[in-house]
Amino acid sequence: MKKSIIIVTFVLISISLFADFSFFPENPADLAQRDYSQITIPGVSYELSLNNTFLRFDDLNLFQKGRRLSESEKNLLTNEDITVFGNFNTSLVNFGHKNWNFSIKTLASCDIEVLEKMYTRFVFNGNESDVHYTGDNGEGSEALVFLKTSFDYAYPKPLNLGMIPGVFPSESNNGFLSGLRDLPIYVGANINLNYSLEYAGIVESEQHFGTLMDSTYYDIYTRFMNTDAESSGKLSPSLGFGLKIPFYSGNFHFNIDDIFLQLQYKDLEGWIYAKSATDSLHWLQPYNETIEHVNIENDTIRTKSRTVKINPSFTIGAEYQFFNKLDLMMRYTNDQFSYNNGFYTAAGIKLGGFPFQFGLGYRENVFFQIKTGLNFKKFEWMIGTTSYYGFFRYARGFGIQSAIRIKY
Amino acid sequence: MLKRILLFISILIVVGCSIPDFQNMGIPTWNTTFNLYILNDTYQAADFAEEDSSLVAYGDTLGLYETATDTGDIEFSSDPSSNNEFMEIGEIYIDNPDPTTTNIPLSQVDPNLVNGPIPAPGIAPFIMPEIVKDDVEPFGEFQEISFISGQVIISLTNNTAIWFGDVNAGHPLVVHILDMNDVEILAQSFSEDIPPDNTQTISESIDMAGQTMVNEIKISITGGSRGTDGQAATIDVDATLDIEVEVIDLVADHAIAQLPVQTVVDSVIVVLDEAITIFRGDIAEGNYTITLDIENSIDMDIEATLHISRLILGGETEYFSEIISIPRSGGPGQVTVQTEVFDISNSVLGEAPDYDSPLETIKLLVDATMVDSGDEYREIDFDDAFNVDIEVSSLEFGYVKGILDPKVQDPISGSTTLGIEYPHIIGTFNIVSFSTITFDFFTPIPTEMELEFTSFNADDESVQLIDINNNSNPILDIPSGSSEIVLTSDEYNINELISILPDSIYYTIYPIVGDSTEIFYYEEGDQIETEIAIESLLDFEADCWIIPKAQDGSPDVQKVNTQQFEEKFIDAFVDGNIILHYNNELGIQAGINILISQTSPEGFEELVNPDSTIYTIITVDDLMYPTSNEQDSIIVNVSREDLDFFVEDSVFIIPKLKLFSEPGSPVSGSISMQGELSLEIEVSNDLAE
Repeated sequence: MKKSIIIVTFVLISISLFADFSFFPENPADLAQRDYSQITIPGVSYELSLNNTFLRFDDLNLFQKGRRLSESEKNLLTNEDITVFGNFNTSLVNFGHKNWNFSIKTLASCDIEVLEKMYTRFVFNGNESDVHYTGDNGEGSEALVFLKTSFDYAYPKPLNLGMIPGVFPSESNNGFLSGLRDLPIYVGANINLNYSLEYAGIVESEQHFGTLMDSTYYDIYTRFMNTDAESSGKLSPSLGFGLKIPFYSGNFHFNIDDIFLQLQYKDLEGWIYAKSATDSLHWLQPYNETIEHVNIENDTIRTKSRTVKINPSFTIGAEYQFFNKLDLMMRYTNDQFSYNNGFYTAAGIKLGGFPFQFGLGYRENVFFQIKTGLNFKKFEWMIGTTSYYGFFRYARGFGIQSAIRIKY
Repeated sequence: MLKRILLFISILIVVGCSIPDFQNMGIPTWNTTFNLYILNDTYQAADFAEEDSSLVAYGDTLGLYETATDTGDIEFSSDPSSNNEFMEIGEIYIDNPDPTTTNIPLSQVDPNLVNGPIPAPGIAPFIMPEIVKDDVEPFGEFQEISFISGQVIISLTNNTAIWFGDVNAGHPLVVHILDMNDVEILAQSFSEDIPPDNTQTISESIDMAGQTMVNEIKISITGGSRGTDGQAATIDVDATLDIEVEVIDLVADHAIAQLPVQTVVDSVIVVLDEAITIFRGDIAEGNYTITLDIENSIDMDIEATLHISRLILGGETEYFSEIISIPRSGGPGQVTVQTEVFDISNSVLGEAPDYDSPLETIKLLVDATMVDSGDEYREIDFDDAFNVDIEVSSLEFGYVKGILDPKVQDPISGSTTLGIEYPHIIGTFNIVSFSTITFDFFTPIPTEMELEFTSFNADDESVQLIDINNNSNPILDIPSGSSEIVLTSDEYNINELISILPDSIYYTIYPIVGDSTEIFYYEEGDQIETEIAIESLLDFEADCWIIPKAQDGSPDVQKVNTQQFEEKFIDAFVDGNIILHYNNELGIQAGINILISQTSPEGFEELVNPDSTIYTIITVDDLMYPTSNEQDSIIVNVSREDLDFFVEDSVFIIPKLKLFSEPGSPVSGSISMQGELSLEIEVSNDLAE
C-alpha cells in the first residue's frame, strides 16, 4: 500500500499538467485549424527529464548498507560512463487566439559527464600498475538556460501544391496527381527572440595518472567557465516554420525551429585548476624531495563571451485515428532541448474526458511514455511520465510533464 | 478489451515501480585492490659517504677516511757555557836604561901620590883599598828589577898612569855594585888588568838572570894594581878610572820601573753545548750575549783586542773583533774589575764561507797591549795577570746547520672526530679490511716519534694503537725533511681501533729531535708538521643486528601519530603485500624487522629479543646477495593483525636491520630496489562515514 501511494505520488509529483496534448506541440502549422483561444496557467507548466547513462532505477537497490556486491554487479556498475542529461522547460506565458499564439518559456539543458567508467572501475576493481591512465572526465559538460519568446502564426486556409506554378498540371486525369496537387497544406511559422541567461561549462578537462616503475604521478587540469553577477546575455533571434498536411483521418507533420539560434553569454567568470604531483620513488636518497608538486588555482579569469550554437530542431511524423477512438502516432524528432528524441510512436485513446497515451521511443535506447489527464472542451489538464532506457524500475531516467490549459 | 489492456498496463506500472529502500541506502560493500609503486631507487654504497662524514667513496666502494693535522714547535738551544783564563803578563820587558858612570880619581886609589912624573920602575904593584863611590847617578828607567835575563856590562876606562888589577898576582880588579845599604848586588872580577893612560876600555858582562838590581847603586872597586908595571909614568892624581855600568836586555819577572809597552796574547776557549754541533748557527734575535768579566791585577792600563773567530756579528762581514780598555789595577794587590757585554744576537757562528766545519768551541783571543807607564814607575810582577771570564749565554738560533743530540720536545696532542652516526650493533662486527694510518711528517731535524693513538667510542670503550709484534706503542724514526710513513693493519691493530666504531681518536706524539748523526738545517719557526690519515675500505665481518640510534644515543624510534587511523581503517584492511624486486651488489646481506609497539623502548636490550606481546614484528627475509644482472624478489606480507597497534593515538616504529657479511667483500657497488604495494581493502558504508 505504501508502495502504491509512493508510486502515485511520484507520478503526480508535479501536480501540474501537460500544456498540450498534441503529439506535435511545437508545429506552428497546428494552429491553422485551431478554432479556439487558449491560455496556459503560468508557472505550473513544465517539462522535465533527467537521465543518466549509468544507473537504472532498480540499480539503486545495489546501494544498500551492508550489501556485498557480486562481480556481476560490479561489472554492471563499471560498464558505462556516468553522464547525466537533463532538460527542463517551463512556460511563463502562453496564450493564443485561433491561429496565432504567443509564449515565453524558460529552457534549461544540461549534459554533464560526471564520471568516466575508468574511474568507477578504479573504485570497484582497483587499478593496474604500469598503465598510463588518461581521461578527460567532464570535458564538454555544460548547462545553459535561456529565455525563449515565441510568436507563432499559421495561415488559416490550406494551401496546395497546385498553387505553385508549373509544378503540377492544372488538369490531369491522374487521380494520384490530382490528389497530390490538391492536397491541402497548412503552413505556419514562428519567430523567436531568445535571451541567454545562465551558462556553466567545463571547457577543458584532462587527467593523467598512473603508477609506473619509475614514478607514480597524477596530473589534473580543468578549465571551467560560468556566468555570474557580472555576466550578461544577448538577444538572439531564431525562426521556425511548420507544415501540416491532413489526409483522411490523420495528419502529416513537419516542423523546424530554432533556425539561426545562437546563445551568446558574455563576460563569463572562468577558473583554472591544475594540480600535479610526481613521486619519482627515490626514497632511498636522503633529503631528496621525491615528490614534485604543482598547484595552480586561478579564479580571476574572465572570458569575453561564450557562444553556443544550437542546432535547429525538427520533427517529422504522422498521426492517424482509427475507429474514431484509437490514435496512432509516429514521429522522428531531433531537438536539443528535449530528451524525447529519435523515433517515437504512440497510441492514444480517449475514454470520456480521460485521454491516455502510451508511447515507445528509441534514441540510442528505448523510452516509454505515459500520458493522461483531463481533456474537456474548455479545460485541459495533462500529466505524463517518461521512463528512459527501460520501464520504471529499469529506467535510467525519467521525465515528467505537466500543464493546465484553459480554452475559450 | 480496452479495459483489459488498461488493467495490464496498470499492473505493469505497479510491478515496474519497485521502490528501493531509501532508509537503508548507503555505500555497499566490496573488495578492491590498489597497486602502487612505492620505490624505485638505487642506493650506491658511495651514497653512504657524506661531505662532512668520515665515510668516503673510493669509486663505488665505501671506505673510511679521516685526517688530522697538527704541528709541534721545535725548541732547542745551547746551554750557557763559560770559561776563564788568567792572562799573565809574563816576562816584563824594560827598555835598556841609560848607563850610569862614576869615576875614581887616582888620588882615591893612593892618596900619597902626587902629580908629576915618576921614573921607572914607577909605582910598584899594590893592593888597593876598597874604594866606594856613592855618587853614582841612579838608573832612571827602573827602581828595581828582578832579572829573568839581562846583562850588566861594566866598562872601565883607565885614564890614570897605573894599572888597575893584577891578575897575575892574583889580585884582579873587582868591581862591586852595591845597593845603598851596602849590600852587594854583584861583583865582577876583571880577568884582565886595565891598562893605564886610556889605552883600552875593558868591559866585562855579567849575566843578571836571577839577580835583582836597584836603580840607586854604589860602585866599589877592590883588587890589586900593577902600579906602573915597572915603567915610568907621569902621575896625575886627578886622573880617573871611569867606570860605566850598563844594563841591557832587561827581561824581568819583577820590576819597579817605567814600563814600556808590554803585550800579552792569550785566549779563552769556551766549549759550546756539546749537545749541539754547530756548523753554522745564526743566533736569533733576543738577549744573547757574550759577557766578559775582566779582573786586572796588572798595574798597567791595557788595551785589549778581542777576537772571536767564527763569530760574525750581525751586519758585519768580518769575524768578531773588539777593542776594550782595561784600567790598571792601581798597585800591587789591587784589582780592577770590568765587565764587557757583547750582544751577539743576529750573529753568525761558524766558519765562513762554507760552514762545512763543526764548531765545538768559541775561542776568544785576547791580544792585550799594556800601555807604557810613561814616567811613572809601576811595580809589576811576572805573574801579574788580568783574568778574563767569558760567559756565553744560552743561545737560540734563527738558523742552524748542525748535528743535534737527541732532545725531548713538547708532546704534540690532538684529536679528530669521526663524523659517523653509528647505529647500535648487537652481535659480531669487525673491520677486516686492509687499513692504514699514514703519517706525512715534515721535520727539519731528524726526529724519533713515539705515538700514542687511542680511539674512543660512545660507550667509553677505547683501543690503543699498538705494534702487533711487540705490543708497544709505535716508534717512528723520521729523517729530516718530508717523509711518509704508513702503518698497516698487517703490523698494527688498526682494524681493532676502528672496529669499536669510534667517535673520536686522540693522539699524542712524543718527539725527540736530533740523532747525533745527521746534519740538519733548521730555521726559526720550523715546526714538526704532521698530517695523519686513517684509511680503510669497509670490508667487515659481521653477523649482527643493527638498530639506528637517535641523537641522544637511545634507539631511534619513530613515533607515528595514528589518531586519524581509526579502527574502521583497520577493519577495511584485508591484505597487503609489498613486492620488492632488488639487485643487491653491495657485498652484504641484509634483512629487516620492523618493530611496532604502543610504548617506546627504554633501551636497546629489550630490542634484542623483543617480546611478541609488546611488539608486532614485521619480518623481511634476508636480502640475498645475487650476482650481477640478476634480480630477485621478496614479498612482505602485512596482515590485519599487524596493524592492531595503529588504533591507538600513536605507535612507535623501530627498524631493526640484520646484517651479514663475510671478509673479502668491501661495501661497494649498489643495491637497486623496486617496490610495489598491493593493498586489498574492503570498502563499505562504515569506512565512508
